[in-house]
Amino acid sequence: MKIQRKGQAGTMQSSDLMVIVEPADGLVIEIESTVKKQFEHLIRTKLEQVLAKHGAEGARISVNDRGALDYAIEARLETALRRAGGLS
Amino acid sequence: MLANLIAPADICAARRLIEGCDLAFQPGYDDLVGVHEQGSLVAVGARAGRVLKMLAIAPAQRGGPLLGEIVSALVARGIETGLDSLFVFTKPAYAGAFAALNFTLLAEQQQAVLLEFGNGFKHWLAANSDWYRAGLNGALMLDGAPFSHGQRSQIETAARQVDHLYVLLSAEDRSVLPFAAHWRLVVDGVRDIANVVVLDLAHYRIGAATFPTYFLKPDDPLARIRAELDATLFATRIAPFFGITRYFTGAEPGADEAVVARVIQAHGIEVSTIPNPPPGDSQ
Repeated sequence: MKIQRKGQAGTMQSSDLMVIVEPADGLVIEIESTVKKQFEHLIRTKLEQVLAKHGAEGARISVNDRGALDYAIEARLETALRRAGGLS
Repeated sequence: MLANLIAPADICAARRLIEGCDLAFQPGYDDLVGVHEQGSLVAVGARAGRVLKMLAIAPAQRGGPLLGEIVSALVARGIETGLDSLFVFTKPAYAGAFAALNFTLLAEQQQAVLLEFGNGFKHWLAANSDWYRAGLNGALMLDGAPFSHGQRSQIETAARQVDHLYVLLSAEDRSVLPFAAHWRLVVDGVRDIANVVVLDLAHYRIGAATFPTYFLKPDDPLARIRAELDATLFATRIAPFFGITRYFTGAEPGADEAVVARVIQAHGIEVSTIPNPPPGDSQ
């Protein structure tokens, strides 16, 4: 699934995350998080799972996380992908 | 609930809240949003281009979710308009509150800090990494368009003293020309000097036009604070990336340039003076 434009979802509230998806070469994931040291690898794994599920490619995924749980990560990323035209 | 503040009564309430937080209300913004609770405005914030400003939370509501709510809304609007990074300039005491929202500290000064949302600076460095040259590197800030013979001779003089000379330009500087035209004049004007690289600082130059002063007092040395913050950004973030160890400045620097030179020197970059262009010189 090809990312066609910039899409974003979520907020910077505590326990939430803001996801920005934009067209790029390859698949790049950038994570900023208040719990980056402890949980970056888990956030990344979750993001990769969701991206793989939808076969997303050609995207830069910028995540600004404030301690969101898995279901929030999935929901926000899917919404951002949909807004970026990468999901039908 | 978050709302756009457009009605005169809302703007008045925003002004009262901002002034009550020891900040100044300064018109000139693209978005002004606020949160009301039980009929009164408890949080407010504005966005002017990529700069977030006048963020104020009622004292009783601090430490809660309001700052995140306001900043989320302003950042979302900024990204919608196509910006890849947003800035906040504020008092050093508030740097932590923005760091908690994953803003990155780009530069600090005694009375002001600059933080960025997003990875814009990292991306800017990556996009310009091809311009890195190994060797003894110098830099010269070129302001005051149009490009003049005097500036050209300053560049020649400086270029002779280093392996590579970065000529720094930014659209943030006041110019009588559109930036693209200024850029072209300079690039064409120095094309024959082999060791000169013209570098576009983009918005990583804090110009007077974008530097918001809402968190400072009118009798603070505003120009000096801006110049110090800008020089710190250059000396601590930009110069190390390009291996710049020498900074060229005119022989009789103005007040701002003297401030810049002092800050840059304090960060271990050697400051060299070169003759000024003659007065009234232009191409």
